[in-house]
Amino acid sequence: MGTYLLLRYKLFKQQASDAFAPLKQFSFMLLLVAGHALLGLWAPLVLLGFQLFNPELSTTERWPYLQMLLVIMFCWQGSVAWQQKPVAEQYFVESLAPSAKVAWLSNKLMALLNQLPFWFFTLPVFIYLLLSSKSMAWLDAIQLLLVLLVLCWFFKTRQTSWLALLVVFVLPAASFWSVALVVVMLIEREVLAYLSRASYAAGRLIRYWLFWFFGEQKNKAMLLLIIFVLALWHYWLVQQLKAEALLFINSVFIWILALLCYAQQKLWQQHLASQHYFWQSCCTSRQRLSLKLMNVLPLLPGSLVALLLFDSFTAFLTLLLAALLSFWSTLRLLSVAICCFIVVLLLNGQGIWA
Amino acid sequence: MLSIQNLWFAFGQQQLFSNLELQLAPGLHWLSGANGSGKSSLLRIIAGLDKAQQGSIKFHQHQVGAAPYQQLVAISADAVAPLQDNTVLGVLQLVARCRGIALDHFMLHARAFALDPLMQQKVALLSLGQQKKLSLTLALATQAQLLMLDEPFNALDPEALSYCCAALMQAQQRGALVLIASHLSPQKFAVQINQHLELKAGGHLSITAL
Repeated sequence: MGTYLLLRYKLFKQQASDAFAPLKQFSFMLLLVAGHALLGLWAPLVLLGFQLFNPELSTTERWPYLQMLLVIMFCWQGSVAWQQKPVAEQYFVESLAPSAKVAWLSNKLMALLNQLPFWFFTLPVFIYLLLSSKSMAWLDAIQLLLVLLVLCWFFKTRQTSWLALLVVFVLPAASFWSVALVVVMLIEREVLAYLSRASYAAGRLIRYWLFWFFGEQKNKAMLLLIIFVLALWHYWLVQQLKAEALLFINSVFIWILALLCYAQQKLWQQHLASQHYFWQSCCTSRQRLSLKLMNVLPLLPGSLVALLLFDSFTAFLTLLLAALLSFWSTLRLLSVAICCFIVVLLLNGQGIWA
Repeated sequence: MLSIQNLWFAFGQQQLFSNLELQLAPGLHWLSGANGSGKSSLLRIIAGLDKAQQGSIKFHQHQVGAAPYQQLVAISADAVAPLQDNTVLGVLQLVARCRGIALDHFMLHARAFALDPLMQQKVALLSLGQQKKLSLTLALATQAQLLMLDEPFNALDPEALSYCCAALMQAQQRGALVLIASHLSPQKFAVQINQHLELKAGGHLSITAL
């Protein structure tokens, strides 16, 4: 039993590292960004920690930080799930279990392990809110726990709620925010159960893409990351900053957004590549091209937001870079992009810290 | 002796087996039936990978799913695919470790199936026939008392086919119960079967002793 559980843990680890494989291609870039976050450039992230722990704030004031925390929770849920392995491979691993009970136990343990990161995020917040003497903080803590329990017990990891994510962004800072959230989550669960019985994957290519897009957890994580970066960028733009700092911040976020769009596009291209001969045999070259382009669709609302929030020249640059990175077949352009980024850092970095 | 009593199984609304009864003694049994008749599902249920809604499955008095039962079982099927993101050697080591069997047993069969040059190859990159050989290697090397093979001869080259038949005859001689599910006729292969079972729509079995 011990050997089998150890094996399951190793497989889990391997799957976790594979889940974010597209991001590894620009890990150097992420390292740079993390370095700057340490220097306090990403203040909102730091604020998230401080403000959630601040019992002086009312619910309305604390809501943006609760919102961020909920988004992180939804992002994590299922991003490296066991259920994402093909059924045939699940059968294979389960066939190695010494008994049916051990197979069941290891499946449950791996699901729990998958959820650990967001328990890790949420539990300290929950305990602090509970211990603080403010009644609203206490209420928030209970509600946070309720959402967490509903997520863990009622949702398969691949089924976390898209609707709930939307609600998190539009929900007013009501006192009983969790009620609306939980209701939406449960409704979507029923809708998903209904959709899984209907063959909505069949038919037109766009329906197939929709089926893939909403079914794949990595898409959700990537899209949220894009939304999160857009929100951070907006946060910085409304601050009173020196012109050099503004240039620097714009350049940082342009690159980050473009690279995230690139990673999102690559996920779809990897999926298409895994069925290369199938598409080759049943589609015309025009259909294959439109299949390749289809994943640009989620960028459209993103670009609309960018045009509304940022100046149109910056938005244009971001989209141009994202498109170039997405369709360039080699990684050479990516290397050039990273070099350009470093040059921008060197040119503008001094101006900011001076 | 494999004993199946009052087995009920359905995929959603589709009832595959209702009140299925089956007793099988050690030997080589050939299970045939049309596509979708439930051959592969039956094998997975006997292997403890799918759970029947009702009924009991016992082998040597052990209940399906219990540790002593699972130790005696091995399955090779397309629906039970070795991990695609691992190397051939990695998968062999993994199964050897889980089953507590020396790696040499696995290497013996792997060499006979001409898999030895492919040890560092990722499973996903193997051809259909090579994947079948790997799956058969994993099942045969465990020396299971209850060996289940789903379409084992598909995509095999003549040398591998002849080795596979010889290995199945050996298993039969050492007193194992081998259940082969195939839509092909057993007469085409160099195996001496003890019983021919035919699975019909609705999960009804007709049995011909040979």
